[in-house]
Amino acid sequence: MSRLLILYTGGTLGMQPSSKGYVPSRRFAEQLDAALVAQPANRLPNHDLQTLHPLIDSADLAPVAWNRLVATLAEVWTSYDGFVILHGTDTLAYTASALSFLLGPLDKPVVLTGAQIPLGEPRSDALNNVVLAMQAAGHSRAPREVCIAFHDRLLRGNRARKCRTQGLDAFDSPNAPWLGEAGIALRLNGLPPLPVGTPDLTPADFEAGRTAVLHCHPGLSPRQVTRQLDDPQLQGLVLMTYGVGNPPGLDGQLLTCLRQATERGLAIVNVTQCGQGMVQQGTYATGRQLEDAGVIAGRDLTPEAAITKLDVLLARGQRGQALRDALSRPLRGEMCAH
Amino acid sequence: MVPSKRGLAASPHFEPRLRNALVTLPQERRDALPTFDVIETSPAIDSSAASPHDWQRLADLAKARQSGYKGIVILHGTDTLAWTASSLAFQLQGIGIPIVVTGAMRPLGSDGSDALDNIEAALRFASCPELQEVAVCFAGKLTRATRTRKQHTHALDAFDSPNLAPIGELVDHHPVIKPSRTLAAQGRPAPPTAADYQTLHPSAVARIVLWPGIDAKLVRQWLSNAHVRGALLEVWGGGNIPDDSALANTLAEASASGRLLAAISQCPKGEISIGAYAASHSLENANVLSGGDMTPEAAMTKLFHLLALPISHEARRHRFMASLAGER
Repeated sequence: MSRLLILYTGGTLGMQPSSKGYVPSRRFAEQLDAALVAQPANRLPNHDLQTLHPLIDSADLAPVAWNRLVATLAEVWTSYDGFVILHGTDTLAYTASALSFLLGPLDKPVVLTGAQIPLGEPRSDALNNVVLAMQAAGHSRAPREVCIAFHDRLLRGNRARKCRTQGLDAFDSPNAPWLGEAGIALRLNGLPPLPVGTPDLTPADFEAGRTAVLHCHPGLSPRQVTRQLDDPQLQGLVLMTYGVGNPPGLDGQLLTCLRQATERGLAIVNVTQCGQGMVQQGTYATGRQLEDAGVIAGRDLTPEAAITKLDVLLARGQRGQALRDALSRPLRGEMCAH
Repeated sequence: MVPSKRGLAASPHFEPRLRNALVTLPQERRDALPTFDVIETSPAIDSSAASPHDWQRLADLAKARQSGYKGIVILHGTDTLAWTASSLAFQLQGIGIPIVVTGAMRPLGSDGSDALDNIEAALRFASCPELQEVAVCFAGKLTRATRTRKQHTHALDAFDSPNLAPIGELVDHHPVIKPSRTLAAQGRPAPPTAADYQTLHPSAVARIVLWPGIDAKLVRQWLSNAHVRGALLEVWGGGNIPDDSALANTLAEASASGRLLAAISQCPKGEISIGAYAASHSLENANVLSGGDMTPEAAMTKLFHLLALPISHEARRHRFMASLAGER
């Protein structure tokens, strides 16, 4: 039987009510242990539980904290057959996407999960999600990739989004099929596996201010866009556009601004604000001009995958044409190929 | 839209093409259509280029024409349709006739176009007197304007109302309104007391969508622009922002300087609750208003609407928290 490491990093799952709202519980490891021990003997994979010190609050997770996860995995990678990471739900999709790009090809499953209601609270989904993640990570045909297990769904990490604030079925992958689904049994959908390999467990050189996201909206200030793009620190931008990838015209100012930025070497990825679908530059007059300005079509990337892919590629030292090429094609199943 | 060398471009002289297309409908459906006049805005608006000034012009046009008609259909590009429709709903609060906004994913006359179906449906819904609000009609569904988003880039069923069930649907080419879901049934609000809009800078409201690693400096840059008088923050999940004191201070300063700040979730479904987690306390401390389950389109256009009204900051905050056009 496989041996798993459960890494508790923080989040709702291990919180308890307080006068300031939910705060991390000191007794979580004990509680989870007790809950798992209460499961029928030998029905779950063997596991150890480790707690990340200090805990990450899902909301204060910055790229630097992703390095902490990688460093922890580096210490234990050879000792276990699979990894379950317990994480807050609010930035879970960002972390899963980032880890998929940081680690690259894997030879073992990494399954992230969390909960909408803390363990031990009435109607908590915590135990169910943890057990699902353990079953997925311990499965003989577990996908060798970064996944999210949540509410009976197994999703590719860099395709997943938190789609609901309240619903227990909080995660979905709007542009890709689920990797698996748990009814009575956990069924894997047998999607083409990603390339298997030894992960990159070295820290990446993240730097604040190197990437940004710009959401288009009617009334977007051309002056503000210019100021933002002119920042010499900025090396990558996710441009969140309308529909199939149309930015607002801003009387031609936005395009000029974008062209100048790409000429300076800034990598700009075009991602749609629509919850589903794909950016295709060139369908409309406005989109065609983006293609000419050197903007990269992000196709069906989620915003979470787009920003973390950009973050990780830059932090791994990719620049220029190599960076643009890597952004234009799927690296870890995060987007459809051309 | 018609094909041009640079992709699809807005085409003038739409009316004859529309009337010719409607003639191709089966007799029975043609007979069920209301008579109508067509007004073309000049120049036509490319949806992605629509600005808050365009919203105001459209609302003025609707106000000027409403007394002569039983309903108004607005044909609009899909990219910013939800923005325009939401804005119209706030500007035309209390209107007693249906205003139905529609568009098409494929141009009228092109292969597999949805334009004619959508226009036919919109004309039929705009003839329903029980509908007294701005609504979006698309792919056989009628949704409240302030609840509607463009959800899909390519599917003909491109629009969705994630937090409110549709208020009507087309059944066998007949418009069916769900009476209990209309604003009229829920007590149509009174029109705004001060209808005189102040002239607002088109960039008076900033949109700040957080991502992990966002630099507080950048947020400060967005908020400190002299013409920015309000901002919408799109935060994580149930209402969390990074635990970054620089960010918290920036928000608190912007609030203290009289800017109207509100927050909604990046999740398409569900509402935020500020204060549920310790990590959301900086939003509370910075006097950031909860946008509940509003769409980004509704929240942004509502901020525009409130900032353009000649009312006090407190009145704006109060009205933001209320449902003005069924938006929350």
